[in-house]
Amino acid sequence: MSLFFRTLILLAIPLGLIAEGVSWNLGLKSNLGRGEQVGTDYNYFENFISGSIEVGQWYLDLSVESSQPPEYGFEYQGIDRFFLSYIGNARSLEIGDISAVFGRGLALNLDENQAIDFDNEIMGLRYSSVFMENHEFDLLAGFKKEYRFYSPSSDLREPDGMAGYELAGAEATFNSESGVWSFIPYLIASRMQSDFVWQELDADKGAVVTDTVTQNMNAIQAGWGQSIYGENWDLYLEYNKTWKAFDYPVSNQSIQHLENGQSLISDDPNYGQEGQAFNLQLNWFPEWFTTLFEYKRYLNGPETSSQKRNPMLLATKPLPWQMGPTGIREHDISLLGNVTHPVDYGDELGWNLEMRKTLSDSWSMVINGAQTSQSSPDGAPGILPTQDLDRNPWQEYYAEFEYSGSRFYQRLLIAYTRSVLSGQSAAEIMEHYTLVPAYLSWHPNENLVLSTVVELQTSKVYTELYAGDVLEGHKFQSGHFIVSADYEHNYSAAIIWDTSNDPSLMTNDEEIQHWVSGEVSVKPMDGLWLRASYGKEKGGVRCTGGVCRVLNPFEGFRMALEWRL
Amino acid sequence: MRKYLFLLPFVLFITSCDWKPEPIEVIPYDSFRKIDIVVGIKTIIEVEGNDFTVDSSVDTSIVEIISNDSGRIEIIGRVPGQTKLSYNYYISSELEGENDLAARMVLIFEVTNGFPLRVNVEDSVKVNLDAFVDSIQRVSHDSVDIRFSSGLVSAHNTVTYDMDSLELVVHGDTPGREGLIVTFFQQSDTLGEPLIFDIATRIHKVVLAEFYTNTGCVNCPEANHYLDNISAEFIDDFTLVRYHVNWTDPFDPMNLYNPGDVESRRAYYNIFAAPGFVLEGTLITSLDEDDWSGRVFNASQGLTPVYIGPIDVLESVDSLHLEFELNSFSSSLTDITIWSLVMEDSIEYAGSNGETLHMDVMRDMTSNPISVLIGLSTIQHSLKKPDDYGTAGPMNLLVFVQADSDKSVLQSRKQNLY
Repeated sequence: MSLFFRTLILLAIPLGLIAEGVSWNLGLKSNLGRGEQVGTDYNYFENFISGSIEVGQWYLDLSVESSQPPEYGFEYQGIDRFFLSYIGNARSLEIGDISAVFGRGLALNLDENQAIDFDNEIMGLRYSSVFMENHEFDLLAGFKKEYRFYSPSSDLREPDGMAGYELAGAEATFNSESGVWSFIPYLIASRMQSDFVWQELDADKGAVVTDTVTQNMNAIQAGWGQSIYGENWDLYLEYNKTWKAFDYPVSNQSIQHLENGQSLISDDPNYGQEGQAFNLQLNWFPEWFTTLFEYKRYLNGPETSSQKRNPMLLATKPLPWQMGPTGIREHDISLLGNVTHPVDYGDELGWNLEMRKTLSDSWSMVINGAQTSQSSPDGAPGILPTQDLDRNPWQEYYAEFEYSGSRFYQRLLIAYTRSVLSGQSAAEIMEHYTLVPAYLSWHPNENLVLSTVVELQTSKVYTELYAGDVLEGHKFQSGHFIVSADYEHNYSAAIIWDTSNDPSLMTNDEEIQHWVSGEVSVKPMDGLWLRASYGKEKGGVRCTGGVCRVLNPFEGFRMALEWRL
Repeated sequence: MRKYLFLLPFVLFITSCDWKPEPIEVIPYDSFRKIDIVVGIKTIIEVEGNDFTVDSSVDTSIVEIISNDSGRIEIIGRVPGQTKLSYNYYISSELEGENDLAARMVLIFEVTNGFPLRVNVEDSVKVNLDAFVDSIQRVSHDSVDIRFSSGLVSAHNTVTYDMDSLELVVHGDTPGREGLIVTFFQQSDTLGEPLIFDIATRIHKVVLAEFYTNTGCVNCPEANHYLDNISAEFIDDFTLVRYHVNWTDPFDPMNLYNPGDVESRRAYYNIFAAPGFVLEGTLITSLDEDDWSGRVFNASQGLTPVYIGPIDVLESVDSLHLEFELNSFSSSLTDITIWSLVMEDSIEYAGSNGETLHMDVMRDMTSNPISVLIGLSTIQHSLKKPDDYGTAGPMNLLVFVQADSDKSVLQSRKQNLY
C-alpha cells in the first residue's frame, strides 16, 4: 500500500475517533495534467492530503504529498507540511514549518507558494509573547535543508539549484499607549551553504582546475519598522542593513597563459558584502479620495552584469528570505500580468502612486503610476529611479473605472507599460498599450451569472544604441477573451481564447497564433469541487510577491479536484 | 523593565562572537610553469618579481639547485623524475599607489634522460639533429642506428631519418611515452655519446565552444568580436559553432532556417540569455575576452581520451554523407554522444544589433549515442545540405564527442568542405 493511502488512514481514523468535542478538518487536493509544452511531453499528477485538528488551545496541521511529478519541481512523496501550535492568552508557540514576516518582509519573509514551487519556510520553532502589557516579542529559529531556486527568467520545470540555510531571529513590537505609533526593531542571524564555482591551481596536475565547491556564508541583518497613524493618514517606514561574510571570496578569476604554464589571477577577492533596504508606504485618505504612495530602495546586493548572469552565485544576491513589498501592482488582467516586472530585491529603486476615488454609488476610479530602475553603478546609488536606458528601467501607468450595480459589474482599463532590457552598448525597449473595454458580469436572475472579458494589447519592440541611433524593431498585437457562464455557483463553463501575431511566439507558418481552451467546473456537493480544462493555453508570466516564473504554452488536459470534509 | 536586563549579557555575548566563517586564503596571482630538464644539463629559469621566499623546495635526489637568487635559478637534473619548487613573492602593481601583488610560482621540473619531444597522434614532428650533434659526429659519421628503448619497433611511434639533411621525422601512432636512441657510427665504431630523446605522444585536444546568439541581441556583437579574436589566436586548438536563438529578434533568418535543432540544443544547456557561451559543455557566465581566452587555453592543455579522424564526405543531391573514425586506443569510454554539424560562414544579413556578417552558423546537425567505445569505431552520419550549398559559403563540417553524464565535450574536429 502506498505511503499516500497509509497516511490517509492514519489521519482519518484518529480524527474520526476524537471528532467529538474538537474541531477538525480533512481534505484532498489533486491536480492532474496531460499535455505538452513546446513539443515536449508535460504531464503532472499532484496529490495533497491535509488534516487539521484543534483541541482547546492546541492546533495541529499535517499535510502529505505524493507528486509524480508535480507541475513544478521534483517528484516527491512524503510529508509536505507539519505544523503544531499552542495559542495562549499572551503567548504562543509554533513548531514545524514556520512562516513569518518581520516588519513588512524587507529582512525576513518566510512563505510557501506551491503554484510556482517557491518555499523558503524553515523547519523550526517560533515563540511569541506579550510583554509589559502593550508590547510583543517574537523569537524564531530553524533550518531549511533544500531551498530550491530558479533564475528570474527561468522557464524550466525544475530549479536551477538548491541551497541550505539555518536562521534565528528576534523581533520586538513596541506600541505607544496612545496608539499613535509603533516601533518594530529586529535582528536576524543566518548561515547559508550553496554551490560555488571556484578555480584554483592544482600544482600536482600542473593545471588550473574548475571545481564546484560549497560556499559558506554567514549573515547578520538588523533593522526597524516604524508606523505612525494620523487622523486621515498613516505612514510606515522600514530600513534594514545586511552584513554578509563568505569563506570562499567572490572574485573575478581569469587565466593567463605563460610560456609552458598558466597564471590564475583572482582580482579583488571579496570576503564580505553589505546591503541595505528601505521601504516607505504612505496612505492618505481625505474625504473625497484615497492615495497610496510607496517608495522602495532595495540595495541588498547590487551585482555586476557577469554576476547577474550567473544564477548559481547566491553570495552576491539577496538572501532567499529578503522579500519586501513589491511596489508594483499585481494584475489580474492577463495581458498586463504578462508584461509585469520581476522585482530585483538586490538592486532596485522605485515608486508607486495610486489614487482611488468613488465617483458615485456604483462607479469608482483608480489611477496608478509606477517606475523602477537599477541604482547607479558609480558608487552613489541615487534616490529615485531613472529612465536612463542603461539601468533596466520599467514604468507603468494605468487608469481603471469600475461599475458595481445590482445586476451588472464592469471594469474598464487603459494602461501603458514600458520595459527596457539594458545591454553593454544598446538597450532593447518594449512598449505595450493595453485596453480592457469589457470585464463584465451580468446577473439576469439569482441563479445565473454570465461574464465576458475582452483584453487588447498593441506592442512595439525596438533597439536603441546608447550612442543615440534607433534600430528598427517590430510591432505586434495580442488579444485575450473569455466567455463564461455560472449556474447556482455550482456549475460553470468558460471558453478562453488568446491570439497574437507576436513573431517570438510563432510555432508554425501561421502569421497569427491562436490558443483556445475550454473549462468546466462543477460543485456536486458541499466541500467537493472539480474543474477540468482542455485545449491550448498561451502561457506567460506568473508572479506572486515579487517571485516570477515564465510559463511556456501548454496544450492538453488539466483536471483539479478539491474535497474538504 | 529591570527583569529584561537579563537579555543584555546575552546580546553582549552574541556581538562579541566572531560571526564570520574561516576565510579560504587566495593568492591573487598564482602561476605554474612546466620545465623540461635533461639529466646532466644545466638550465636557467628567471621569474620577475621581488621578495622571493621558498614555499616548498625540490626533491634534491632528482634535481640540484646550483644557485637561487632573486628569481634567477640555476638547476641541473640528476635522475629522471618530477619535482616541484614553489615560491611566494610579490609583483609590482601596474597601478600607481596600489600595493604590490602577492604571488606564487610553482615550477614543475620534468627530468628526463633524453631531450623531450612532443608529438600528436596522427601527426609528425621534424627534428634536425644538427642542433644536437658535435662536429665530429656531424662530419665523420657514415651510418646511424635508430632504435626505441622498447626495441626496434614501437607501438607509439614510427621514425624516418634522412642522412643528408640530418632530419629525423617522428610520427605519433598511439598515446604514450617512448625513448628513442640515436647512435652515430663510422664503420663499426660509435662516434661520441648516443643521442637520447624522450617522446611523449598524446591526442591533440581541440576545444569546442558553442555560442548562442541572435541578430537582435544587443551584447552579441561584442561577444562575437571576442570569439573572432580567440579563433585567430587558437587556430589549431579551437572550434566554434554559433546557434541563432529566436530572441530577441524573432525574425533572425539563421534561427528560422532550423529552429528545431537550435531549440533542442538550447534546452539541453538551459540557455536563457543571449549571448550564451558554452565552453566544453559548461556555460560560462562572464563576458570578458581575457577570461574566455584563458579558459580556452586551459582547456586545450587538458588530455583527451579520444581521437577523431579525418572526415570522408560523399555528396548526394540534397545530403552530405559523412564517415569518420573514432579511436579511444586502449581506454574505454561509456555513454557518449557523437555529433556532426554542417556550418556556413560569411552569411550576409544586416541584424538589428548592427552585425552584418555571420560566421560558423549551424545549418544542420545530427547525432548518435554510443554506450561503450573501446578502440576504433567508424561513424556514419548524414546531414542535409544547406540550401545555398555550392553558391555561398565557405561551408565547414564539425564533429564532436560529448559525455552524457556531465555534458563535457571530450574532443572536436572541424573540416573545411569548400
